[in-house]
Amino acid sequence: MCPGKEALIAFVFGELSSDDILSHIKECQKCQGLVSEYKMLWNALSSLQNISVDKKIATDTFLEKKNKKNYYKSYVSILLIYFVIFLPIFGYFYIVESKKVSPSRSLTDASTINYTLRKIAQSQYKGKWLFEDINSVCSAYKVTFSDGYIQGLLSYVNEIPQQNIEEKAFQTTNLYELAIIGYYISQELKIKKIIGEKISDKALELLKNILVYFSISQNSDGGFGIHPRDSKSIPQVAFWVGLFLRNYIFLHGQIPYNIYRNMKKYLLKENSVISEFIKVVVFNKEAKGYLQRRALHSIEEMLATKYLESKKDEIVGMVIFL
Amino acid sequence: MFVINEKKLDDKELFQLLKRNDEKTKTLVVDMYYEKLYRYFILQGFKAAEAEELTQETFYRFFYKIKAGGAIINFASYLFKVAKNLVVDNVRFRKKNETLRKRFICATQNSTPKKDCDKAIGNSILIELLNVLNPQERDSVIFHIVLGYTFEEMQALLGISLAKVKRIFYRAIEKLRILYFKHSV
Repeated sequence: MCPGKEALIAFVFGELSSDDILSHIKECQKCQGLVSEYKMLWNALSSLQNISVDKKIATDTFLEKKNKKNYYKSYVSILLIYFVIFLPIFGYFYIVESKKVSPSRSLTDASTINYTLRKIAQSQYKGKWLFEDINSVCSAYKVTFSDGYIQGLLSYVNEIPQQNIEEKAFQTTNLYELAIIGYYISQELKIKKIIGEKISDKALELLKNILVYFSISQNSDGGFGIHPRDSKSIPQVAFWVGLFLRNYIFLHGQIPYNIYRNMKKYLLKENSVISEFIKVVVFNKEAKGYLQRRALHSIEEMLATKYLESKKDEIVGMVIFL
Repeated sequence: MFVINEKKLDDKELFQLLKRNDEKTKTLVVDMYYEKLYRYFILQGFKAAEAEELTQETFYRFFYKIKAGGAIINFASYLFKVAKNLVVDNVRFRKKNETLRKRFICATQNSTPKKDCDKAIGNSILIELLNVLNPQERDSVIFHIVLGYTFEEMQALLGISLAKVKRIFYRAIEKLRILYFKHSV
């Protein structure tokens, strides 16, 4: 009489060793067939052990040593003070002052930006590559901002080695501005690293703080990087955050996982083409846990296809984001 | 069983070290379970990038739990429990985004070697067949054959009795045999 299938499986998979079963299998053709099938299946399943693992994670990026809860607490208290005390006062002044807007505060056209950027490139970095870089993306994405505004940013950049830069950077609550400041600071540090100058720990820490600030900031709708008083759209913020992140990765090697996780969480809430794009391409397909250069290649690849041609403008922001 | 400075430590002792935020122990735990979790996700039908993402998410939740003061008695059991929950969540999410996914695949015709690798793993008959099994049966096969856990260890991982573990495993193997040879023919 044949043993049950369970006994045969246990026999083949090494869970059971019995002389009776062995001698029976030798005589019974039906059992021989089953055993050979189980053996083949066993070999096939064992081959799954050889799935290659491309391990690229660093343990210390799972949890930042910085206590994130304190950040939340401090920002919540700031928000409460803001809404209860300052908002009515600011609101009053905003309404009064908005009636007296001077022409110099308005955004300028592309030619002025180019001129300003050229000046930045020549005075700060003694080369044209920065200008070319920014100019090309600016014109592609039609980003405009005022002359005085850029000069203000430059003053931040000039003060990098000096003290109080951290306070200055955080004086602004507008993430759009902070992203630009972050970019300029990181750009400065990047150049220093390229030419082999020593970068201060304080400056690196500052960049990290800015990054943390991005990851925990959200507006009432849960959107990423948009301050309520900021009229800039997500792609515009993402544009500068992207440039900043690119430099950050260059300087630090990678983005800490918990920060990346928070950014992702907020980005996923956005109901726009861009966020769909992030969801499908960056976070699910190619992100590999970190915003790596590899993702950029895949998007570039997609840009070349006809399917995405109509959405090119929206995607340019994302390309820079990476 | 982990070995630190030639001392054998069990999960309880390691947990105390992790509570003190010991970096060396953290690395050790990641080294020990990273590959197992990664393979687990791959065999659930996820692509390589997704599997890596989910593996990191699992570790993140694990370390976060310890940091928040939670107690973990059995590391493997907790990690795979988190992994199982992530699989359920992501399968739901994946279904929602299936259309976008298809459009993406259409848009990236020129595949790189890594994508080819993904495709090969994704299309592997065995992984497809594993996904035909119910979650418990699939887990029993993955844990026992691929990840090398014994039936006794699987009791804790699956949260069921030894007899039930064996019964589920045998049932899964029989189902796989029928499907595998039917598929091959």
